[in-house]
Amino acid sequence: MKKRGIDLIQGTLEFLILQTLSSGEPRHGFGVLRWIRDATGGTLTIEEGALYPALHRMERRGWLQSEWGVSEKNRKARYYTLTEAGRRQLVREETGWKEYVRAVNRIIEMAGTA
Amino acid sequence: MGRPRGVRRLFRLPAGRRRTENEVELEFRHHLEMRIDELVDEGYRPDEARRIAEAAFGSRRWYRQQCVVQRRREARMTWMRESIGNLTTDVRYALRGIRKQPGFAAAVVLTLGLGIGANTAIFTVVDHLLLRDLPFVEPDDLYTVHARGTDGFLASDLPSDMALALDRADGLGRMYWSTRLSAVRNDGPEPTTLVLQAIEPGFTSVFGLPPTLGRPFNPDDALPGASRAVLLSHSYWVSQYGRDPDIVGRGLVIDSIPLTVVGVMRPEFRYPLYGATQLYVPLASDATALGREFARLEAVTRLAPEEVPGVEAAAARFVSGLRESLGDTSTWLPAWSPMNRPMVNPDVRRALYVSLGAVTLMLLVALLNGVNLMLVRGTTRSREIGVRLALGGSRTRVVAQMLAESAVLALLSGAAAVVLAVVGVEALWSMAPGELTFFGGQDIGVDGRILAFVALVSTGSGLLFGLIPALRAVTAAGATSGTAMSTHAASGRRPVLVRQLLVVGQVAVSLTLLFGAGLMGRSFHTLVSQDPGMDPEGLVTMNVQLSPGRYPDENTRAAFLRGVTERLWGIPGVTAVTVGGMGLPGTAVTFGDGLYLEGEPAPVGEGFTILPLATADPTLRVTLGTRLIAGRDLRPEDRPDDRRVLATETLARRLGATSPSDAIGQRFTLGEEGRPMEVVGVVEDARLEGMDPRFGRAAFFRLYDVDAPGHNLGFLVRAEGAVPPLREAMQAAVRAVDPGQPIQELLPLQQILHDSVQKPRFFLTLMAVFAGSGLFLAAIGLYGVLSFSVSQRLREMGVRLALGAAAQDVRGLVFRSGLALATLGTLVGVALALAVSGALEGLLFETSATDLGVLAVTAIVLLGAAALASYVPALRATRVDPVAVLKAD
Repeated sequence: MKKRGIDLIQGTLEFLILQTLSSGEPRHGFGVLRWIRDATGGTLTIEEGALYPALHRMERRGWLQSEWGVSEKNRKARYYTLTEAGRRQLVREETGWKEYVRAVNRIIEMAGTA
Repeated sequence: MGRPRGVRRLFRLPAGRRRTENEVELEFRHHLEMRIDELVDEGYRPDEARRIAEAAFGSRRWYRQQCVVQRRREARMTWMRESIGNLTTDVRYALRGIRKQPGFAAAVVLTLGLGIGANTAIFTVVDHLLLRDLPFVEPDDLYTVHARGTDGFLASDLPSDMALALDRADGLGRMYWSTRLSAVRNDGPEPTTLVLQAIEPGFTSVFGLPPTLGRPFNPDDALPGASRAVLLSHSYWVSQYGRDPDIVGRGLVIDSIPLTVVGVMRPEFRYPLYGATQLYVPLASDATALGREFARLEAVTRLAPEEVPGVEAAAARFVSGLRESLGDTSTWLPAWSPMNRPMVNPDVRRALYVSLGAVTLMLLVALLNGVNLMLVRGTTRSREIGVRLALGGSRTRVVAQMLAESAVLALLSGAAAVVLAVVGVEALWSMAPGELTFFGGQDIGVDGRILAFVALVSTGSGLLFGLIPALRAVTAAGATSGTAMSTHAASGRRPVLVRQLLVVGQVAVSLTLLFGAGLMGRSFHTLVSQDPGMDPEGLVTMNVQLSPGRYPDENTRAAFLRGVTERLWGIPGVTAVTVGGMGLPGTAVTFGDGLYLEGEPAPVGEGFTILPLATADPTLRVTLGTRLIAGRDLRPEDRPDDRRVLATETLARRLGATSPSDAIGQRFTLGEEGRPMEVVGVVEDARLEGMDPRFGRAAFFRLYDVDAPGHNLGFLVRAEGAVPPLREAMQAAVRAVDPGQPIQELLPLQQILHDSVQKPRFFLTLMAVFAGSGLFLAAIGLYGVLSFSVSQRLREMGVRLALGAAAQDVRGLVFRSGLALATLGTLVGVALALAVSGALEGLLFETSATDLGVLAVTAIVLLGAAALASYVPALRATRVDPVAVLKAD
């Protein structure tokens, strides 16, 4: 299977999903995917099916809640929303990511000045 | 999926795999359709769009599986979380309920605990004595060879001359010979009599249990005259040597013969199976051991597995061959019986099973009582349940909660039952007649298997207890949910009827129990009120066995006899001393070799044993206090050689006499050989061997030659005053003559009589306890139902009283309904009792298993208890204050 762009590792995908749903608006799987694609300008890609085990796992952990609903064009779809626990998890991950990014940046800068 | 939908809903099981898969598939399809739409919008052809979308999605099967795993994990976890939460709530709620009504809980726990505990205790005893396999390798291949007398009497040993023939028998395995003997150990601080088994060398391996320490016997140990080796039984090693690991090679002295310990047997090595064998010595091939020769031997045989099915045929062939070669005159023939079979006598076996049956009936009463209690409680809560259902509570949750309550109660009852069982087994065993403890040994206890059984029974009854009333409450409340707010909801006809039927059942079963106990009581009373044919008060009998090593000849034995007699006469208060050989009351050996009239070739009578009493004192009859019925007493001028005897009535009848005087002058022999004895007088049946109807009625008194005594000596002393100092004085008399001589037995005759009915007394006690408990439970059940119906009908009672009904009318109303139930129960019970009392046949002494007198008394006792149980609630009914009751609504 050919792939373009940066591969997503599991933790990253979960973080992105949490971000996607943080607006509070329920989204179905394809909606989540579309949002990630648009927000990252298509640089972060995954095999699309991989999204779903992540969604279900996160639901099991209590971060997401799902409900069957009707989507545009009158199709039946499962909609996901963020739970309170999910929101807390997002804050935790955000902090972690920021620190990670800061640390990586410092290393890159140090390498640049050397 | 295998489970029907209803079950899944009831237990709230997670959604099935198939359904989850479908849901995930639906989600994927939605994704693909959306993607395809997008691609088509971008200008792709639909088929191209589909291909691209599917490629971008990746393996649907793989991701679907991943999703299902997650979803099912989630479902399981939610389900478990919820269930655990519910369970905690239910249990907490149940505990609160129990605390609020401790009386109810105590009644249930006691009822069930008593029923299950008693059952467990009895089952433990039955299992121990009747059901358990011998702890030997392949125990089903082991057979014992008995000697069967022409009278059907089974002896455990065979004439040793038969051994040769048996060793050559075909298809009957290999014989292992042994014999029991008692000998004196004389290297300790005090001489002690030990029980030994002389076994042929191969015997150590017959059970597949080699010695735990040291070595088994080898053929050299059994060379005639060479026997110096000894094996210790495990219990003797423990009790005498404190498990000394260096015991092998140590010496000990038996019958003045120094022996060397060569090993210690395993604890499971028990032979004979009953009684305690302390030492094993080798049996030489010439049937001698420790310098003694044995005329009779016991045999065990281990059959090859393929021989087992044909053992009966092979035995029959062998016996008929033996009969041909011996002629028809042989009084003993060998008989094979499987060793891995309960040793207890058939009557004890029967009594044990009857006890088990009785205790099961008691458990039945207890269970009926428990269901009744729970039903009453369920009904009182039907209003609460109605409210809960009306408010949308789930039926499952209501049932689950009631089940939790009964589960908690069942757990408590189980715990109570275990405590009762453990204590009960110990108490039973300490109370049990020698015959049970003798065969059972000491290692009895409630084991894991039986505890599992208890757990099963109590959980089962707990579920039963909970489920019936719970379902009943839910359906009743459901049916009346519209009127659930009414106080009188769900006190309809049907639940009341069920409870009444339960009470009828309880009364019927407890009547059956009571009848059984009554029959056994009557039988016991008949047994002990037999005329003992003597006056046992103040009589003490003593038995001494002189060892051949220390008392080799008649002169030394006669000197011992004279010395002891003299000292016995010297004890203050002694009014009579009689000495004799083997055969004074309590020490006598019964004789089963057949009774022959002089000149007759065949023995007279069948199936009885004879008790020969040898006395140095012609007036033994007078000493015993036994009446002379016909003929004359023995006189001082009669000599032992004259062989004149006094016969008991039973013996006289056995000899063919139609009246006692008819027997005078009859001459008979014991066995075919020997000079005949002549009956000069007939005395009443003296119950010298106790009240057991099987033994000791056919007896005779003959003179004993004090100048030529044998090794077994008996002393009978009558004294005025208390028995314990007399016993000590008698011991002192023996010690004064020979400090190295142990005493085998020293018993007051009253104790012999008392002990002889130990067995029926034990089973009567058991039966009485079960019947008493059953009666009590049934009374409680009746009381409970009536009290409850009174409390439900307070309004009606109040109205009746207000309208001018007399108090006694209202009282009579309740009282009569109680008695009606009891009467119905009694009628059913009478039929039931008569149907099952046949099981007691064979355990009853001169009492019919359908004794109508006992039945009448039983019914009266039961109705009396029922009247008492009905009276209290009846009384309460009239204490109603009409105004208060009517206002309460």
